[in-house]
Amino acid sequence: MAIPILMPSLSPTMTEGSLAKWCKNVGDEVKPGDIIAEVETDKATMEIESVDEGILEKILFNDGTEGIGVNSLIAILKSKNDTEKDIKDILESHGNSDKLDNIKVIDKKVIEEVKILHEESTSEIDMEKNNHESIDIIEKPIENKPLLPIDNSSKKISASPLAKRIALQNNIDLKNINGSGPRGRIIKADLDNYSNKSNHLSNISNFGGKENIKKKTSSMRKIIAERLVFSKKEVPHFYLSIDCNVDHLMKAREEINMEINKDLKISVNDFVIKAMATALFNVPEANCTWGSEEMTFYGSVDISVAIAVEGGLFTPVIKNANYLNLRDISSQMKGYVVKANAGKLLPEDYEGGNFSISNLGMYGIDSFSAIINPPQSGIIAVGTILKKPVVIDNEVKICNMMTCQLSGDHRAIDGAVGARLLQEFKKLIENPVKMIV
Amino acid sequence: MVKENTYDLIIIGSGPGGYVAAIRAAQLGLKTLIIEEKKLGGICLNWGCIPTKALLRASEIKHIISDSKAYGINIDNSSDDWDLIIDRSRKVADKLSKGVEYLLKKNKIDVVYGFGTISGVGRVIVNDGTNKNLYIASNIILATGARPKNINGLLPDNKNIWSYKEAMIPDKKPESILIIGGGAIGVEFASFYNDFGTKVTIIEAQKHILPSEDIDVSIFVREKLEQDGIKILTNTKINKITSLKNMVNAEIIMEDGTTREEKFSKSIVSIGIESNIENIGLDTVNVKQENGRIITDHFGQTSEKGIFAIGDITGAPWLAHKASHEGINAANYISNPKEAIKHKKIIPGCTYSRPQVASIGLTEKKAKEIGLKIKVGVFPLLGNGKAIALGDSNGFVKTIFNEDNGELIGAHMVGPEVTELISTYAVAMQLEATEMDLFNTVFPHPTVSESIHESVLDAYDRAIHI
Repeated sequence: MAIPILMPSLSPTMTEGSLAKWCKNVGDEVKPGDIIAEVETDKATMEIESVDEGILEKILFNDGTEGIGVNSLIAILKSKNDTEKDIKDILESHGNSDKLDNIKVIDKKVIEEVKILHEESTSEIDMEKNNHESIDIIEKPIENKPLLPIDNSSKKISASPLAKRIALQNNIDLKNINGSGPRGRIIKADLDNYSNKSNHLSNISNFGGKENIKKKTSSMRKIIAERLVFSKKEVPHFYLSIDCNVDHLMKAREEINMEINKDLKISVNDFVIKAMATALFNVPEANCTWGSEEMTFYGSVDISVAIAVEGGLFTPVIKNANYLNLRDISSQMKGYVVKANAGKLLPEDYEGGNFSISNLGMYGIDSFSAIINPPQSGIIAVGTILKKPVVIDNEVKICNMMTCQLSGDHRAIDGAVGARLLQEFKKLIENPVKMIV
Repeated sequence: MVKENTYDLIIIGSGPGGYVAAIRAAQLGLKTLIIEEKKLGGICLNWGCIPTKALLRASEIKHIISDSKAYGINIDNSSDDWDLIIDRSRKVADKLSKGVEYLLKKNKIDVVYGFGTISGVGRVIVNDGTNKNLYIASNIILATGARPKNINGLLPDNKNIWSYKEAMIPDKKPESILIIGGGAIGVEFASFYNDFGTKVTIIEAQKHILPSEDIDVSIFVREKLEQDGIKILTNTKINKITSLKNMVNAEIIMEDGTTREEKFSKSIVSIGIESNIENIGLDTVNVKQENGRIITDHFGQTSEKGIFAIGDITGAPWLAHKASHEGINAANYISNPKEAIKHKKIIPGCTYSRPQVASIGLTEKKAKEIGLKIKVGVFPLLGNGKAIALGDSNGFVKTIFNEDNGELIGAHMVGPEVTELISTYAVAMQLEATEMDLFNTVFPHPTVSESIHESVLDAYDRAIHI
């Protein structure tokens, strides 16, 4: 019996996914555990593993196709005894029967051609960065076989070697150029025209300005946009700010790090995670989520920590952070940074946090106001550590100071609760011994 | 008597512009008429490119025979049959003219002999000497070509003072010859006559012979021709030339300004070309002209809708392949203006002297004048195995790139069969190859074409055989 392969749901928020890349070609043998394809979700690139055995008979979306609904048919695995009809039945049962006539299938040869095209376009001048979506699939209808639609938005860019080089040198995206050469080939003259036009404009608006570059919005950015717009629109933020003296913390950190391997060093942020987790544990009324019918008060303290990556950010979760020691927190964080930068975070890594930490201290930011990561009800924005004059016992002393600002969801927590949480946090971060005990 | 005939397209002139345009138009389904005053194929086939190449082939063979001992072959008592040499050239021309006749027939193109004159938009009157007939077409292509420029004091008399035409059909080989004008035509005739033992003098008003070529080419060819015994006077003018009984007397204004008189058996005047725009009825339509040439757009469209012009009447370069290309372009446009797409026209030039010269794109001087930062590679044929095996390693290949982006902007070659090799550059330029694409191209060994590769490599200091 032929086996349909569907777009998996890889996270609760996922409604559609992008087919990042096929790891198997049509005609390849697939065994249980084999990676068939990589799917890009709202947060990460995931691998689809096969649980079945068979021959990959059909692939219905080419590499880079976006917006494939969860549970859509993306491929069909054929076992030995399957007939054409079995395959057709699957296509029909997945709601494609009415489109049979204008549906296309990619066969193996085509995939190879795609690869070749891909190689060509990346050799010598690396065009991939700008237009990996632009690699053309040579669509080849196969007689009497049902076909599925293929994303037509992708279009091969044909350009002369000289045009490619000029585009690269001048940071011009060839996607924005109409080719006037044979079969729409982009030639030097097209780039000259383009540059003349935009030079004229940029001469008026700014001197020596570079071209504007249009880049396709990544699914990560779309998700970030969607969630933060929701948060700023729906969540009534309030902000509380507190200065923390981290002299003790700096000293403790220095002492701890002297004892351990260079690769395992504890960062200030690790202390912040531990302090915030402990504070939340100690002020449980702040560890909650607003609901118009019922509010959720969390039984554990799971801290989401923002990690900046190229093109966006991730918020992997340190679960039960209040119970973990600094070294565990530190090693988990180090693991998340590596995974985040590789785009390999798994849903379980970033789902289910109760409260967030965003630390821009390493960028020299004194203080800032963060946007709450819904459905959480708070986020703490951590600034840089600066030596400042502080009055202690009527004397001016130079201390290491760190400003932290809480953003709270006023629907769920009030100012007083937030203030108590920050007080608790301050107590812990200023006396790290207390969070270890 | 006026007879009416209606066509989609009428082409006046059946040279390499006109007949090619006619064939293309017929391929596209246009009912086409071509009008020819003299012989199908125009100057190119009958009195230009082709018959001169036949003559130059003879002089090349003559040269090889004279040099045969170098190859270990003794040819004693070889002699020339001048009549046969000229006759062969005429036969080659006739053969090709008949070929054109066949092609036109095959493509069902009507041919009318006579002098075609536009008589208002869409109307052409053909005067065949006895009758005048009117033909109607929605589109007309003017392809009437050009002729040698007539300058007072240098008027050919068809006896001792020749134009190119007399120069290719002389009764006998002249003792001495004065060639006025050191451009491609002058240098080809100089090469031809010199190889047959005529004492040749070239006079060129500009600083270099082949003045439109790269200076390195001009200098190299001059040295080579002088080694072969041709006398070359540059920055030199002719005040007056007088035809005497069996010779000409030339008043030469030397480089230093002094005037000298010298006598030659014959003289060839090859000092430029002017368009055949007279008496073709341009006064009956609104066709814009400038300096004796017709102004056209990319597709050959003149300022009068429905009237096109191609080839020599539209100005320099006066080359057959330019005319053919424009002819095809115009026919495509006439058939379907919407689908016609402008493209780059890079026109190579060839001179079939010994040594041959071929070039395309900008000269080094021109590239510098327009402010380009360039990279230049030069490869001497002395480093090319095939050229040495051929026994003809006189020459070089020069390639010019735009340093900023690796654009191939010019190539200049001297040497054996370089006229066949220039197409490589033409293709590369049309496809906008960069130096990298040429580096990556595999050139067959042993061929003279490897010099192209080496020259390209040399521009980036990567040549192997230098």
